[in-house]
Amino acid sequence: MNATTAAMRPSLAGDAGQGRGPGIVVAAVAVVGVALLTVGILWALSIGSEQISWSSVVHSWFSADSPADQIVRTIRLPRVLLAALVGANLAVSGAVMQAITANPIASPDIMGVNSGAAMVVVAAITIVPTMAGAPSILLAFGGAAAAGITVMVLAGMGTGKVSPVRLALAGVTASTLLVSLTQVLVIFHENDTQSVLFWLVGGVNFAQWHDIGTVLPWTAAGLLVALALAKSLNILALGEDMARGLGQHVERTRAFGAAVVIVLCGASVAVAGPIAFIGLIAPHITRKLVGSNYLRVLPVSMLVGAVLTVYADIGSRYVNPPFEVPTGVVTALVGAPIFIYLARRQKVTR
Amino acid sequence: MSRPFPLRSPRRSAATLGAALALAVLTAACGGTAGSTGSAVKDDTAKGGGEAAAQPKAEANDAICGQNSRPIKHDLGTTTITGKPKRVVALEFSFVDALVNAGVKPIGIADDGKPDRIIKQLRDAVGDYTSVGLRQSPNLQVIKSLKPDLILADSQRDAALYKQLQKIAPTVALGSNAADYERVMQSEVVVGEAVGECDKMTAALDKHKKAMADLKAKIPADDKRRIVFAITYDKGVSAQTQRAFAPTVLRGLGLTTVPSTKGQDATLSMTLESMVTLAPEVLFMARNTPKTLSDQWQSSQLWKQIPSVKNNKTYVVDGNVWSKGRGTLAAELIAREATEKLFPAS
Amino acid sequence: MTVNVAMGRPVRRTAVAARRPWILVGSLLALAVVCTLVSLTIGATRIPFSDVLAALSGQRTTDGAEVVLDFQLPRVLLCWVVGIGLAVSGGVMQGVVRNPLAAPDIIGVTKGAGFAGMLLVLTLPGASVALVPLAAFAGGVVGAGLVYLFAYRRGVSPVRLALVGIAVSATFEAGIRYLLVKYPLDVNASLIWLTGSLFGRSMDTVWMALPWIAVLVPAVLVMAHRLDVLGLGDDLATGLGEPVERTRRNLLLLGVALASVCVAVAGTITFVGLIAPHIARRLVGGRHVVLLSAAAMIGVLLMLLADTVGRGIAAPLEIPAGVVTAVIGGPYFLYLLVKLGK
Repeated sequence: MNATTAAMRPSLAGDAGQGRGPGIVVAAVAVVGVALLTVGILWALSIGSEQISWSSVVHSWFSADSPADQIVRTIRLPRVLLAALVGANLAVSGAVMQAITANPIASPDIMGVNSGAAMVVVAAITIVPTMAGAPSILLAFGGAAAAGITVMVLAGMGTGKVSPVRLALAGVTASTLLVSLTQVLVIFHENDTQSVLFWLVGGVNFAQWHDIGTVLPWTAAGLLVALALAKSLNILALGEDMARGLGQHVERTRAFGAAVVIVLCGASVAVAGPIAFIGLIAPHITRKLVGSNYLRVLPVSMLVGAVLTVYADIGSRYVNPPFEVPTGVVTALVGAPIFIYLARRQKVTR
Repeated sequence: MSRPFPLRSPRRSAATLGAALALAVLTAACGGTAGSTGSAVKDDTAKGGGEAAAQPKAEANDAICGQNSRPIKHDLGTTTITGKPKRVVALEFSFVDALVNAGVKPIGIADDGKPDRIIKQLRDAVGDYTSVGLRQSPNLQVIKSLKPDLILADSQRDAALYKQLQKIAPTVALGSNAADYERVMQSEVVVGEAVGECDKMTAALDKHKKAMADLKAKIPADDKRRIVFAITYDKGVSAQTQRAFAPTVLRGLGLTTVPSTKGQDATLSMTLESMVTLAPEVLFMARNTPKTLSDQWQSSQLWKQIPSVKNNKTYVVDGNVWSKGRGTLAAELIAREATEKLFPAS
Repeated sequence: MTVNVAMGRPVRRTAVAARRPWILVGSLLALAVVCTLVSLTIGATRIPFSDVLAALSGQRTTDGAEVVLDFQLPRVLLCWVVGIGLAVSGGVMQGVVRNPLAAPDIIGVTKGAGFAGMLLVLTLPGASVALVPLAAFAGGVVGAGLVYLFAYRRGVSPVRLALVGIAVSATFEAGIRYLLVKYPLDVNASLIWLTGSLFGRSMDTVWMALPWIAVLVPAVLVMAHRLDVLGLGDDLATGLGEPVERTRRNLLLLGVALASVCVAVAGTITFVGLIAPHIARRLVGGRHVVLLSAAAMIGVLLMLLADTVGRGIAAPLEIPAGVVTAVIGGPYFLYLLVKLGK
């Protein structure tokens, strides 16, 4: 039952130790995950202003004749793909963050990375309107980096093990400051709800192919580097001293890990706003399923993050029909209780 | 200090998770219970109330206007006004329109610190005035320093301030923000009574009605094109429903606007998909930010299939007139612009 | 335990404070009074000091005096009420949770109160404005109650309390954002309240909050020595005969009530409850009865600064006080974190 406890101190073999072959478990999880993702994507493609039957959805794969085909191709497909991409990004950055901070509740939202990225982008849009658009992803990187590194340093990273509560409090404080600033920018800018919520909550409601193009290269690069880091992360998870003893360049691993987090989160926020809690809960769900070896955790949490976000986006159409609530509201409503559950756990709160 | 908890019952954790989930559902459900319960994005072009909107029912009560000390009934109570107020503060743009109609120049306006938001003709008619800050949070001290003898406040937005405003000067609270054409016209009449200029107001409103009637006469009765007025921002597009000002002006002319709404909402958030489904045949768009979401839509094939886009019937309009103006002048400008665009020949 | 080490570290103090902490509290009080007088002269336009004095002696003879009595005075008094309330609440929570980073805005109260207040305003637009504080109060208590409930497991470990508080806050935050989606027309007004502002407050608001503060703050001060005992650690405190769990609960309840009252009248003003006790701790040390008194005065100073800057800097536009406290408090707090981390 103590999955988190086990998760946070994996053996070198990284086995979850459940008596089954880890390969089978991973394969089963992968199959189920892919199946869920496929169903989710088809479902997402079929709903919207007008219900489009699943057969028409499949039909649109081959032709672009009817208006329904067009809607699926130009509106719904980029939206659901962006949801999946952003979910994967956030999940992996959460997993990496939890590894490099040796902290089970580290995640982009709790550490203020998302709100930092959002604040900088909003500031650019409202204060220097002409800057909006092209460089917003770079601005998001800057904001994510500034907020994330500040919180990590301030929480006492590099001075030994940081208690989860200290990290959480530091992160929440930074977030509070950043969100206040975002709010005042919005008040004086007089914007409409959708824009406001986009930058406070996040969503993929307005996704376009263009956004996919923006985020995809960064996602690919970030995920590849993350996978390359997986072995180092496994060793780091044994504890800093042990890792050093084994000849690890701990600082280098951390630096690369932080870069991955900044790129993945910054890219997500730039196109989809600060979507909450996926980065926190996806890695935890993943560890429950496949144990704590990062070679498995990283790819599987990608899948889990994608599935969660796609279904949250589907849910966003059903919360308050016919309006769509931003995807981030749904992830927050679902994720917060899981956070409460995690916060209660013994390992985290000791 | 750490307390050991060696034994953890799985059932207990599950219960916690359940309770936590319930909390989340509760938070969501609380928000969902009250308020508007849905309004269709896609809706037929029902035209309820459109005709009535062109002829406001409220007529100036001349008997009241004649009195030196007259009780003015308004949304938040009854305020007694003596004499003819000359130092008036307007907390919404539509009140500026009403005051100009009544021949009174407001001395203070809540203009959000942006004078451009007042329609140019009105700004010229008003001349010098003092900004009293954001419409959401007008500066009470500045209002007080102007020594007003009348304050015109929005009955919804300024409700929490009403008592404070009353202490500064007699305050009349009327519908403006989120009011439709008919309510705005009623507000104008009350403003006329409040400043003791019923004759001027009646004359102005008659002139306005005639102008609107003339425009209406140019419009063929059988025109059933579906018109949408939307405001576009950096990350959003909002269509105004038939509860909002501009659409009710257009409906008053006998035109057809979508979307209608069964709820109370004056705006409806749009995605490209809902816009395509709404299929406007004429689209008026006000841009609120330099770069807008609709700019991105324009590169899409689907955008080009929207009837208004296909037929070159998509127009950029001034949001300060179409959305924030809300007065007789705004209505005339909206009606004229719409008529010119819809019927270029006439 | 990094956290507790930080808390337990002896704090360097000025020589005066070490010997006569009450002298320092007295000086802070005097400073707060002076700042109050200065704040009364600053608004969208400057008000002559003579008018301020006239107003305070009860004369409504000049316009300046009227402005002071009608607009400036209620806000300044609310700065006192809210500053004291938030600072004492923060001091109590930091003492109970034994964590220098705890504060009402972090552990559930503020967001709960914010959510309930918004819920009332948005879903029942016809409801009397006077009901908002009651709703916010109820929300704050419910928020804190949930935190306590979820954090309870054979007692409430301070660290778990803080973490669960953050999680419950996040849930309410989600609810707040959902409300923003549902009621798009009022977004800007809602945001002003959510950011925390003393805009448009009258004496009615002061009278609404003052009795609570007048009762709750002395109650906390009477119990202050128990915070000192709790600070020794659960085992030692129990050994000294302190009913740890019950004391903790009672003190928390007081802290929650104080913070809820403040959110109810001023919106969600952040960082005051967090940093005021810290500054106080540096000045007068860790004995809670002195610490809380000093924190209260520092809270007042912070609120005065925030509200005065907010209404003076971009007049006639008003910047919500909560933004100013965040801008002042955020960086100070981050600096503090570095200090504590070393």
